[in-house]
Amino acid sequence: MYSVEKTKSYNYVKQFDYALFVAVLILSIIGLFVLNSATRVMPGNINGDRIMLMQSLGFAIGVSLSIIISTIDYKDFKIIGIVLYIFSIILLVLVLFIGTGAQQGSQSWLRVPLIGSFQPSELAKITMVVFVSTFLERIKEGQKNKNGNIAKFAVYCMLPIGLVLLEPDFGTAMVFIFIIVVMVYICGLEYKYFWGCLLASIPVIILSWFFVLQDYQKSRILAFLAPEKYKQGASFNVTHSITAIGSGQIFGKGLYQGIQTQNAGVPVKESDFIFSVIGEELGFIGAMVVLVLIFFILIRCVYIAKKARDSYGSFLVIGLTGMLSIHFIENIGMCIGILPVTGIPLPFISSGGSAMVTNYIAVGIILSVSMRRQRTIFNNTQ
Amino acid sequence: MKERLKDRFFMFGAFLVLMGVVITGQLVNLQIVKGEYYDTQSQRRLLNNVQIVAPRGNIVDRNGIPIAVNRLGFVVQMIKTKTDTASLNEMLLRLVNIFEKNNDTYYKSLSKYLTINPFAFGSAVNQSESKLDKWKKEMAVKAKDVELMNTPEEVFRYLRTVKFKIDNKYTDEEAYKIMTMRYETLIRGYSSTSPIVLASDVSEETVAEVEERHNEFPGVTTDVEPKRKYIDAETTAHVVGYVRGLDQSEYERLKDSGYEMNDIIGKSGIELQAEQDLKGKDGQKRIEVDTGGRLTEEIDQKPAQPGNDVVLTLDLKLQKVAMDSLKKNIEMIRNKQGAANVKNNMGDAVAGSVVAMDVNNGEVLVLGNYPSYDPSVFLEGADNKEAQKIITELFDPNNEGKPAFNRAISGRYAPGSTFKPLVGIAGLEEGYITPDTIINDPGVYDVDGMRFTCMEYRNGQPAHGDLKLDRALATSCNIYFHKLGVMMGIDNIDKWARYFGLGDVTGIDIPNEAKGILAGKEYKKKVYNDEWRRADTAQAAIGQLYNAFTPIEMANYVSTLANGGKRFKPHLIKRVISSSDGSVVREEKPQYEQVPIKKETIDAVKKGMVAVTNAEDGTAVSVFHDFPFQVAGKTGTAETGDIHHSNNGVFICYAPANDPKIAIAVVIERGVFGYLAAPVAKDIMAEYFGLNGTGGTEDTVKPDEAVFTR
Repeated sequence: MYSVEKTKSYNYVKQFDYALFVAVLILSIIGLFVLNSATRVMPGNINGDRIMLMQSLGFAIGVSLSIIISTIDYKDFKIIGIVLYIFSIILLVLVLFIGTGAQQGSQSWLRVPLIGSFQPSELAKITMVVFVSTFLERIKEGQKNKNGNIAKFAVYCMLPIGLVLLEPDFGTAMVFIFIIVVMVYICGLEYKYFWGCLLASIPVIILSWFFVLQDYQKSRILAFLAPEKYKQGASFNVTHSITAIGSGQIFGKGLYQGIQTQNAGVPVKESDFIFSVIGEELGFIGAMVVLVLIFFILIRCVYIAKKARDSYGSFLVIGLTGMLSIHFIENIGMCIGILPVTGIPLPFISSGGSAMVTNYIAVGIILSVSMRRQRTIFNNTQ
Repeated sequence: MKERLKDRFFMFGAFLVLMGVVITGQLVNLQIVKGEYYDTQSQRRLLNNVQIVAPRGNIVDRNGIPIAVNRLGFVVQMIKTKTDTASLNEMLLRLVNIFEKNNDTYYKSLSKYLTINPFAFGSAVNQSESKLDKWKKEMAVKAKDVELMNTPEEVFRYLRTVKFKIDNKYTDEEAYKIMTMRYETLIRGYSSTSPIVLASDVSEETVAEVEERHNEFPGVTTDVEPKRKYIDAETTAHVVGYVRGLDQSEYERLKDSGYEMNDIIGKSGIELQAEQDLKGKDGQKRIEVDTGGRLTEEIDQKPAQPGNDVVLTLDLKLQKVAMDSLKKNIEMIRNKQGAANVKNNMGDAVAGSVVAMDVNNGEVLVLGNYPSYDPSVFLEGADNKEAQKIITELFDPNNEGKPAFNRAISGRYAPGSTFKPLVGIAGLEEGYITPDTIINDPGVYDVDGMRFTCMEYRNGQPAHGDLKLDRALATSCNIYFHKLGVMMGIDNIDKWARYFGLGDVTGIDIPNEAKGILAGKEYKKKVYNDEWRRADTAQAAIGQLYNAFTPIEMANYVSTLANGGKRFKPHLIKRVISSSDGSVVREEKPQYEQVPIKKETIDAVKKGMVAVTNAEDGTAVSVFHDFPFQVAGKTGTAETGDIHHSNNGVFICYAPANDPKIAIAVVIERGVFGYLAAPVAKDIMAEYFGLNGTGGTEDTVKPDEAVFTR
């Protein structure tokens, strides 16, 4: 049903995107040190060593997977994508029935032997991007039956979002929406539609405030709007996170030396609030190093998307870039108190082996596109 | 430029860069502009989780008078701070020295494993090689270091130098003190987020000193915690029981049911019976502390839920009178003073027991034993030598008084003649006699080749001659009951004894009730593998042979007799109320079984029992002749088969005879005669009926006019 035109010969070693890959590696390695510091002192009976073990395993597996995936011609994903998409939809349905984590707010985790537990929605973000990019490509290239493709695109986007909302995990749903918005924007949707959507979302927001949002979600938003008033409750974590980051000043307290970090001062410092560890122990300089790495990676990805051989590759990369960027920005933003709290982790740094693996899968796909992109130099055989 | 704006990749990239700039701006704001402010904040905003110990429920008497309550005790606790080992050791030594100066006890778990002066392994490991090996492995920093730890002294050296890195400048004693504290931090999960308790229930001096010099004690703080306290401890010890700290195995078993390592748990009496009600639910609070562990702000708390209060049926005032009287009378008998100055008294009375019940609902008003003990000793730490000595003595089998033994529910005593009313009931109900049936007492009675002699006859007085039931009871004539017993056979006696709950547990709501022994064919076959003979019946009919009942069984028997055949399940817990709002959590309803007994039977026996305390030759008339209420009683002088000791004295009674309210059973071990136990019952009734000018417990009861004319 799909005709796949393979990229012709290429030199794997020469064309590998070292800049992106090395940046991600450095970020991950910094992340491992930061996580190690964060998990030295853990509240209750959480085993910090186990977290480190899972993280290192996830790192090793992730790096290997990304290299393997980068060798696959991304055009093959047009076919593999259908299977993966269906697979992750099945998992998303499954998690509604046998998932765990309901007491933390959303039933979004699946227990898997050996691996432990992972969130199907993490995988679904990638598979959705891989799958719906084919439709965007058709729309973009003006193939016939445009409306049909738009409808399919819409349906295949809605499906995972709907399932994630049933868990209910609003934070992840927001990530999905952001990814789609970025992809549609790049596809060239006229600005007036965006303004229209923005306008239409106002009544939706008002209605969901009264009928959909849970109390804890409302309090998070209220706490973000008026942190002093909600000091005891929802903004408690943020207050401590900000205190920790601010106390790092220019040079930081030094790795393993943070007062808040080493005294379990900031809640969930190993995951959602890991940026507070960076801020406190590595200081402004350390935080800037991490930020520069992150934005180098993101801008590099945008560049790869722009230069991709074909629109499919372009959409693929921009979708994954959207995913990474919303994670980076929202997570850091909430840690420093400029965005409301959601349970979105910091890629390559926050604890979670399965998140590490899925992020590296995304990197692998981006690498695959990057290696096969248009070159301005003359050895382009195309 | 316009081209660029149309490039949507460029626009997206620009958006990302903008975000990066915003984040950088906020970081500059937080870390550079306000950095110093947050740095000071950070020093005093460390999050701590603190356990709030739930106060144990109170135990109060029927009128709400407190028996077991809580007081506030001070604890010294510590969180982990950033200090080097040397200054930590130095600080801990200073702390121990403060404890010792003020005679405060501190946790010394290490002493169960290792002691010095002389070096030895402690009780937890010195019995078992495998336990010792396991402990050594836990202590070893590297696995092969176990080889360095053979003798207790080597273990001490190893812990000192390698494990805890205690400086050479300290003496062994000082090093051991430091080690003891460090060991606590090791086993109690020392962390910077929740404090561990180093010393519990310390003196105010220690608290003042630690607070005053808090700069010298980083991480050390003080707090208050509820502690069990018993009021009139000895008076109610056998009812209330005691609590103790959890031991290691209990903790392992119960830690999932909400128990913490430092918790106490009921071990006997009501404390054990109502553990579920009394134990509250610990709370937790989140606080912020500075780097020295001092509170800067309380964030929120989940308050502790105090345990529920238990209201007893016990009447504390009555209980006190009973316990005082029991003690006074036992001492009098032992010292052969006054009425106790009789022959057969070897001056060896040691112990006694008393139970009083409300005959109309089975509520236990009094339950106590002499000697008693102070349950507070069980709250003392393992290192309080004084308390440990007292506890050892309490359970010492050579201690004749056996103060920890709850005689009232666990002690079995031959009822002696107090069994006779029951035999009379069996005879009447089974149709072998009527109240007017005459049985002759010629002084002796031969059966199965055994000769039984009437006690008075043996002492040179005339035999009782022709007797009806009431006179037989009044004078406690043995021959009458030997004959009656043999006439109807043991099975008829036992049938009625079982109706009255004799030889069985009463089901009272405190643990460790013993089951009485009812002399009968079954028992003899089982224990002695021998056939039952008529001579056995003759002995059993006067409450001897194998017959042995607990005081609570006897009290319940006389209570059943008093109220016309309702055998209640005696109970001590009246209700359980919520300590927060006083609402009733549980109310104990009286439960009873109806004994199929005719009113005429009860009246006939009552007539005899009233004569015991009123007739000229009644066995207890000397005690009750001036008592303004008519009492139905029965004395019992029980032979124990031990000729080196005096007989046991037993007395059962109820009053007022015509409108029974209270039933009492008193047993005095080696109390010589039954009537010598009767004054205890009399004192209780005097208080109960308000004859002591204190208003009494039941002001509805009016003295029985008829008795005054006597």
